[in-house]
Amino acid sequence: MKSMRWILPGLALAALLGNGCILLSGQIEAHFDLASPITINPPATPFYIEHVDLNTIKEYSDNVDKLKGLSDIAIVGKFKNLTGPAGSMEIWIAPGTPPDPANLIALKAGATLLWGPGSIGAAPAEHDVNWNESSKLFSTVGKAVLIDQLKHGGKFTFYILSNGQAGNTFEVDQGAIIIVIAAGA
Amino acid sequence: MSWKSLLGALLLLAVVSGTAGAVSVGLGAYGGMSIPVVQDDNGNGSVFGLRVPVHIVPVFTAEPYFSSTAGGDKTLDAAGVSYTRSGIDNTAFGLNVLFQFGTGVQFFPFAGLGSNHLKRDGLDKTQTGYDFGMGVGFKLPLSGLSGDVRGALNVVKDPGTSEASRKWAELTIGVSYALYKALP
Repeated sequence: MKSMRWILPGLALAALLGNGCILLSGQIEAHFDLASPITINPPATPFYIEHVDLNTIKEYSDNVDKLKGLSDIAIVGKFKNLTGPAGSMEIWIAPGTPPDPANLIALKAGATLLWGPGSIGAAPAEHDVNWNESSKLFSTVGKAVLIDQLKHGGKFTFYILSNGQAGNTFEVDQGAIIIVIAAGA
Repeated sequence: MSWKSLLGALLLLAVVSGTAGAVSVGLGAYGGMSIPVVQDDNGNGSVFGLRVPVHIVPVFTAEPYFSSTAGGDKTLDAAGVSYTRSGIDNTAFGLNVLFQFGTGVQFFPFAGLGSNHLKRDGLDKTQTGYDFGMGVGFKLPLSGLSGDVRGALNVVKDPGTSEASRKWAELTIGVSYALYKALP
């Protein structure tokens, strides 16, 4: 009967290991620093394009073959309104490195909203977006696109845009994408 | 194997492995440390909870529990700036099954299942979790009171993907009081 006392926890552990071996996994942080500063002047420069290759990030490249999914994500930085009235900013995502869109209409036709809108007050204003605040601004559909790119090559394109009016000048300083990937055996 | 069938198997095997003995029901409280295992975005925290040990047969105790874990913050640098992420709070309830060895001082491996509500900014999900651990139990010099020290691994399915888990190592100290006891 004593052996039964070990069999039961063993059975539970076996069930867990048999369930996709989720035991052997962890959450690994990697971050990609955006160019700094990024400036957006609608309507002449209504968006900024950032081609992201996560393979240049050691934490990602070391774990890409064991990648299971995305556990957490944030887009952080100092979002500034240098001139003009209050506005908001968004980040859109497209797989790979597509040709640069000619305008906002073409951009939105070929990309998916990932993050935002994040509001910013009338100039001069600065909104430092932290990890907790940023984590609440992601769209489910955009996140799905990002997860797909994480699993298939790690290359995608960010479009940082504003709904600002003519005369607005927005700037993003020390921006970064923080991702926490789930990796396992 | 689903968690319901696993729970059923655990209980059935536990019952058939024992013989009728003293029945007791207790109430316990516990607290201690919660340490994330390979979680870059989650810090050390604290855990406390309540247990209702139900001792039916000589070798095992079924133990429904409630626990509340306050996750610790984690700070990381990105683009030259430090960013702090709030820790994951976990409110859980479930059932552990303890398999006891010895008299007086008892050693007990245990395993169980639970429902875990994980919460922080941008995260609000309920996930299935699994407990595995080892404990040492002992009588305290007061009638009906006993104490225990446990080390456990709490494995909860990652809300971001069903193919991975978040894990916490827990070290707790607990006290239980025997509310009801009936001899066979």
